[in-house]
Formats: sequence, structure tokens, C-alpha cells
Amino acid sequence: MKRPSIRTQLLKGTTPLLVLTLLRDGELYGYEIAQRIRERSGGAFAPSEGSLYPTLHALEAEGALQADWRNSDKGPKRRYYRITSSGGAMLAEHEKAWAEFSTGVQALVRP
Amino acid sequence: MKGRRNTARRDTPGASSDAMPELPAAAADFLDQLDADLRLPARDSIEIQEELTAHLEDSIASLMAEGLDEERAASEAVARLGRPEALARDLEAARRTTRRLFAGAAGGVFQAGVGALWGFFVGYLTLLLAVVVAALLLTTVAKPPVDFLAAHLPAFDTNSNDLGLNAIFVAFVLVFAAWFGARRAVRTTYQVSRRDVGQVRTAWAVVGGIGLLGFVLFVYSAQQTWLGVAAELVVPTAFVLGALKFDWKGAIHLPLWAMLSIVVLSVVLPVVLVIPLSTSGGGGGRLPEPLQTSPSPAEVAYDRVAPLWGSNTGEVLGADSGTIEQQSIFDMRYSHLNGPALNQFSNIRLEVWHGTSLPKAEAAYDPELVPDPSYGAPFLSRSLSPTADGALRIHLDLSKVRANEWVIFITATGPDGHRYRLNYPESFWSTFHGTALDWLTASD
Repeated sequence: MKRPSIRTQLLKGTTPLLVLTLLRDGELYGYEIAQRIRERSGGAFAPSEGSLYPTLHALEAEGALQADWRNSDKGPKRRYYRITSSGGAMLAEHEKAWAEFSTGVQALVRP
Repeated sequence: MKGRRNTARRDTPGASSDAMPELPAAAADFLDQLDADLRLPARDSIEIQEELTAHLEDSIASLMAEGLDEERAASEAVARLGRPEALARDLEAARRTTRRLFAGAAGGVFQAGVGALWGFFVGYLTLLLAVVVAALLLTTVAKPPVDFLAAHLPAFDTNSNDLGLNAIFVAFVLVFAAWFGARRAVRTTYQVSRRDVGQVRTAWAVVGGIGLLGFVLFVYSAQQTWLGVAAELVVPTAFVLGALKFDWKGAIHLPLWAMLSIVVLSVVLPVVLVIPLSTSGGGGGRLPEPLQTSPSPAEVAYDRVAPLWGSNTGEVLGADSGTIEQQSIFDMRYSHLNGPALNQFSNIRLEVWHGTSLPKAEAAYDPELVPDPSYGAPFLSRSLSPTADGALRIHLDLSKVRANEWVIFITATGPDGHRYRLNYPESFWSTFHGTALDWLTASD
């Protein structure tokens, strides 16, 4: 079995944070989310599209996101996701945890 | 090369009535494989297919805009989604939250009740229809064979037969209720929790089966007979089969005819098997062997219990009051009428013997029941003490004894030292009242 890259492994745990952050600014559908992450990171990283949809569905199941089908300006219907108030609270928790985590990691790798 | 998408359009939030777009073969194969790997309710699977189809369209279009040809763009778009089996596994896990599990379980319980109610009405209507059809048949084409059977089958005690027949009717209706309830419970729990349908089926079969079995054995208390107990035990069986029968793609299940055969057999077999049991001994079914042919009163003479005290004591005791609860608990008071005072006797005892019916033509005695000659001793023997006013108070609880025909004697040691019977016997018909477990562990 092919071993996942370090970037992929690092990204996996942060996908909910990235998704919630993007959706805070407005509703998006799956492909758009993947594109936005790629664009806003300057192409530095993009979540595996295979992990993006399970993350979206898990957040939806937990009540952090709501989804509904609507026509898009690009053609067929798309499933748009938007953040809920519960998702907002979850995002705040993720941001706090990420800040603590990244600070700690920085302190370790660049003392 | 273009591939075909064979996903059926259904009523899902995102599903439109539009035909599925024709995707390149690589993308179509990916979605087909994903569909085969997903073990989720159809509604979820279709929704995922719709979403990923749109995703692949966007992804392929974007890659083609970057200069790739369609086939390479499709391969790249598919590769970005990873392996279909891994994606299917992750999507299943994402949708199977604890909250949904609890919601599915609660919804399943509720829907089990709704299904049971629905099944009850279906069963009841089916029973009515069956009775009408049976009545028509029995009075027309089936009359000769029925008459033949009626003439050759053993006679049954009417009271027991009524209870048994009622139990079969009730079981027939309850089997429908259990079957429908189980299926609705499984479907709801599966659709809400998104758990593996095999696990849901098994969980409901085990929990529902054990729960209903426990209810029947330990909680549900009613008048019982062998037929009734057999009928009650069929209900958990029907629930288990209903849960296991729930259809789902790829599920291994018995064909409908096999399932129905099992249900029918589980009703018929216990009935067939318990008929000999219910008529054994003094249980009130077929008359015991010595009484098969017109017995003489001497064969069942009460003097086998004890000779009646002299003629001047013929009306020594008589029941003058009593209450009956559940047809099996008796409170009686025997008062002294015109015989000698009870203080002439010692060691006064109540004896309850299994009774059996004498054919009316031979019944020279009143009451209709006589001691069953297949029993050599009373079922119950208890000391009695006269009350201050010279009466005897008797409390009898026969609700936990299978046999249901009794003859009560009061005996005592007379002034001459011999044992005498002080009363004309009293006949009783009682019905067992309790749970199925009470019945199974009771004595005859």
C-alpha cells in the first residue's frame, strides 16, 4: 500500500478547520471548496478530494453544516453547504486548538 | 470513450428528473464501483452519487480547460478522489454518528409500534376473511370430510377448546403485528442510523426476539392453555423472522414462500405437538382410558374417596356463599345445615381431586364432574378448622394449576374412628391464569 505523504497526513486532521473557515464566508459546494482551499493556500496544498466529502458529510451529520440542493450557475444542481451556529462554535474550538497546536509545534521545531 | 451511468433516478433531495449525464468511462466505472461498495440506504447512496457526479463533471471540465484530453482528465479526476472502496468506507463512517444511532433506535421502537398496529389490523381483516371463506367451505364442499373427521376425532372438553381456538386466532393476528412491527423497526433504524443493514437486522432480531420472549414468558399474564402458550411463543418467532426478512440489496434472505412456511409451521407445529400433551392425564381433554366407554357410576364412586357419613348427615355441609376471581380463585364458606355438629369429627380436611366429566347419559350423580380415576390421590389436601359459628371457610387458588376440572370433598374422622366424607362433592371448572412460564413450570 502506498504510504500517504507527510503533507497529506498533516492536512487530514485540519480539513474540518479549513472547510468550516471557508464556509464562514458563504455557502459553497464540494468542488468549490476544494478549489478555494487550493487557491487560498496559493496552491501550497489541497485536501484530498477523497477525504473532503467524508469530512463534509461528517460535519453535516454532527449538525455543524447544513446542505441543500440548488441550481448552480454552471449547470446541473449542486449540493451547497453552509455553516450553522453549531458549526460556528465548532470552528472557534478548532481555531483555538489549531493555534495552540501550531504554536507548540513551532516552538519545538524552531526553538 | 463514454461510459453509461446506470443509477436509477429516485426521489432524493438533489435528484432531478433529468437523465444522468454521460461521463467518460473511467468516471462512470468509478461511480459504479462506489455504488456497489456503499452500504447505505438507497436515498443516501443516490445523493452521494449525484454529488460526486457533479464533482467529477466540474473536475473533468477544469482539467480539460488546463489542456488534458477527456480521457486523461477523467482518469486524473477519479484519481483525486482515491480508491472507491476507501471513499465508500469513509462516507459510511461519516454518516454513522452516535446521534443518528440513538435516533434510529428510538425511531425504530416507535415504528415497531406503528407497524404492530398496522399489522394487527391487517391480520384481523385477514382472519375475518379466512373465517368467512372457511365457513363457506365448511358448509358446502368441505362438509362431508369435516363430518367424517368430527365423528372420528377424539372429543374435547368444550371449555379447553374454546380457549385453544381463541389462542390460535389471537396468535394469527399477533403474528401479523410482530412481522409488520419488526420490518418497520428495521427499516427505520437502518435508514436513520445508516448502520450496516445486516447489523441492524441482527440487532432487532436479537433484541426484539428476546424482549418479546421475555414479555411472553415473564410479563404477559392471561388465561392459559397449551395452545395458548404455543400461540404466544410464536409471536417472538414472527418478530425475528420479520426482522431478518427485511430486504436490502445484496442481503441474503430466504424467499418469501420459505419465510411464510416457517411462520405457518411455527403456528401449526406447536399446536399439533401440544394437543397430545393437553389431553394427557386429567387435564380435561380427551376422557381417560377407563372412561372411554360408558363408565358405570361405580367406577367413579365417591366412596373411593371416603364413604359418605350416615344418612342423617346427608346435608351436613353446603356452600352458601362464594366469590370467584379470574375463574380460578374461590372463596367459599360451608355452613353446617342439619347434620351433626362438626365437633363430632376430628382431622377435618379439604381434598381437591382432579375431576372428569361423565357422559350426560351416564351421569347419575350431581355434579357433572367425578374424580378422575387416573389419579390415585387428591391434588390438594389441607386441614380445615371450623369457625366459631360452625362453618368452614375455604380459600382456593387454582390459577396456577394446568388441569381445570375439580371435585372438592371435605372429609373427616368420624366418632367411630373411620374416615368419612362430609359433603356431596362440589364441581369446579377453573382456568389457569398466569404467564407462559408459569404454565410451563406448573404441575398438572
